[in-house]
Amino acid sequence: MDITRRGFIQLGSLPLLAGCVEMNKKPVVGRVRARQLGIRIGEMPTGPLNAITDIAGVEVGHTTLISGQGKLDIGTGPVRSGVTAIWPGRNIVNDYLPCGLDAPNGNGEMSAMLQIRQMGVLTSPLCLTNTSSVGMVYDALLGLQPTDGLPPGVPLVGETWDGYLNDIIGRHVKTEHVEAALSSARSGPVEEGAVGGGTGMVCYEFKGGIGTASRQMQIGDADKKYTLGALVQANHGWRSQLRIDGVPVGQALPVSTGAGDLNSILMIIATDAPLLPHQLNRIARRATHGLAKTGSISGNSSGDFALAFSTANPVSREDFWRGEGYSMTSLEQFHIQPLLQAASEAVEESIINALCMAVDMDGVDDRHVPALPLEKTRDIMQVHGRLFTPQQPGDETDSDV
Amino acid sequence: MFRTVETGYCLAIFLEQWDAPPGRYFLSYTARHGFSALIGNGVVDEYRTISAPLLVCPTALLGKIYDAGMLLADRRDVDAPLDLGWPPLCMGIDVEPPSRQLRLAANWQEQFLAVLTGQTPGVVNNWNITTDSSRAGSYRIQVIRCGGPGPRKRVTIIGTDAPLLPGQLTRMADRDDSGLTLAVASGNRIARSGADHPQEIAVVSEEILEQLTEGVASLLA
Repeated sequence: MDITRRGFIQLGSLPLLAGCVEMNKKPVVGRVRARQLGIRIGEMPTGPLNAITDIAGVEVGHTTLISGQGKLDIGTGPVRSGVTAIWPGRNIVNDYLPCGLDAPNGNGEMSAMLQIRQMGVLTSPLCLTNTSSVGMVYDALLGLQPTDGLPPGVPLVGETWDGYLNDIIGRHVKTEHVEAALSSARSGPVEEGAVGGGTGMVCYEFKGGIGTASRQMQIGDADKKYTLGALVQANHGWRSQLRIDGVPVGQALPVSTGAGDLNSILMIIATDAPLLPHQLNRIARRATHGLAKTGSISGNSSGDFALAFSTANPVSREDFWRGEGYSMTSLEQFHIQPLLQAASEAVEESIINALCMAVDMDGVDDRHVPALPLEKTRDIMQVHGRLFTPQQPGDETDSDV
Repeated sequence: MFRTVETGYCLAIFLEQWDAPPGRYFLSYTARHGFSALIGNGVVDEYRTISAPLLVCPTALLGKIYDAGMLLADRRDVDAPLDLGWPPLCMGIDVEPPSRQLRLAANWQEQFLAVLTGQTPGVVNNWNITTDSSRAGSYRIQVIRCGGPGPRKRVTIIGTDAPLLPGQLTRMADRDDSGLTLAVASGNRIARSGADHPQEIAVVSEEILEQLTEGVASLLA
């Protein structure tokens, strides 16, 4: 039986509901991404991997630090932390990329914001980690910058607070962990959930962390397809706020375990569409729409940052700093609408993927954060008529839709 | 670079002919000291471009001048696309005699449009408008100042034919201390194009930008 969500709604949900319930009674084994569960966010087709690495040249690597258990012993553990590294391009320190920013609530840290706002370029790999590790990671990234007389680029480090589960004061993320994340970065599927910088993060009071998704679109009549991908480090929200594809899932699930709203999210967007920095600011702003659709209101204490970069317009350091100038290409403003939608959808799905892929975790002082219960979530989605049926294994992407 | 036209109660600053084909120029602004007499900036904030003449008028006339700017845009395209004159960007200043004493003729909008479209000659405003220009390398820079007294109520408009991106124009505007400083570059004209053909946009290096901002700072000093 082949029922897409759209078809399901068009046909009317009631006569079909019983059949669908039967179809989705299979147990969920392990953790699966939202689409494997039957959740489809938005309308646009995904890229082949449904990940930020669908953009050519973008690579992601993690260093995950998990050790110790029980009572907090600062400097010893328990450790539930790490660093996630994103290469926008392997030669980013020499070939800068246009970049834009948005911050729906700025109680956090994302270094290089001033450089991006002033100069509109990204000059560093991006590293996502915890609040206390920003300086150390920044220092490690600074070592990548050339020292040839041209001004060095500014390292980009973003943080969210993992102190509910992690010995955050102990500063367990070291230079070698940054280097390991950078050197392990690959294109291809991205590991999600409680990994890398997302290891100790909590999202809507469930285990959160790293999530990713992508969208593809055709702009104009040419065969050229553009891709936009997102990666989030999700550490925000009250459980009651959680919505998945518009369904108030958080209100239907058991009460909080006490983690509360840990307040922050980092949203990284990459695209191969040719855009200028001020256009990328607009793309970054749409990340907030995706965030909001999962229920967040960007609380007063949130450090919610969105960054968007384009791989289509690399600029050499030499041309950027010296000489007469350079050229970029730009989609005309009237044509970027699909990218705005893609940014919103990809961020929304990235957050849901982070929840779906993260596992239960115990941390400091035996605090426990449960993973999102997938079967219950599936049942809730089913009741609301917001479940589609993956047609076969591997149907979690739908670039051919 | 700029062509200015005065109407007796408005200073219009043109980057190109009022009825030019669809096109836009990058523009940025910085407001300080509580300056708030500005209409039309929402679209500038979003798209960082302008396709209409820049209009400076007594603060009390902002609404009327904006409306007249809309009439001018309507003559280009009633659908008001943002590359055909929408929105007019209108800046308010204090003038002598005070704004409330200004008397507009009953047919002032027709007169206004006739001047802006070149059908009739302008009328000198008798405001304290200063214009200065110089070169920085191979590029021209121009500064128009009006309003006051003092920097808090002053409007400064910086123009250059260099190809600057909006963020670079913001940095140029930041070299000033007026209540409102607006910077616009004619070095890239963004014309309509098919989605299949991204436009090539020229950008100056940091080195050239520094020369330009230093040149602007000298003009502003």
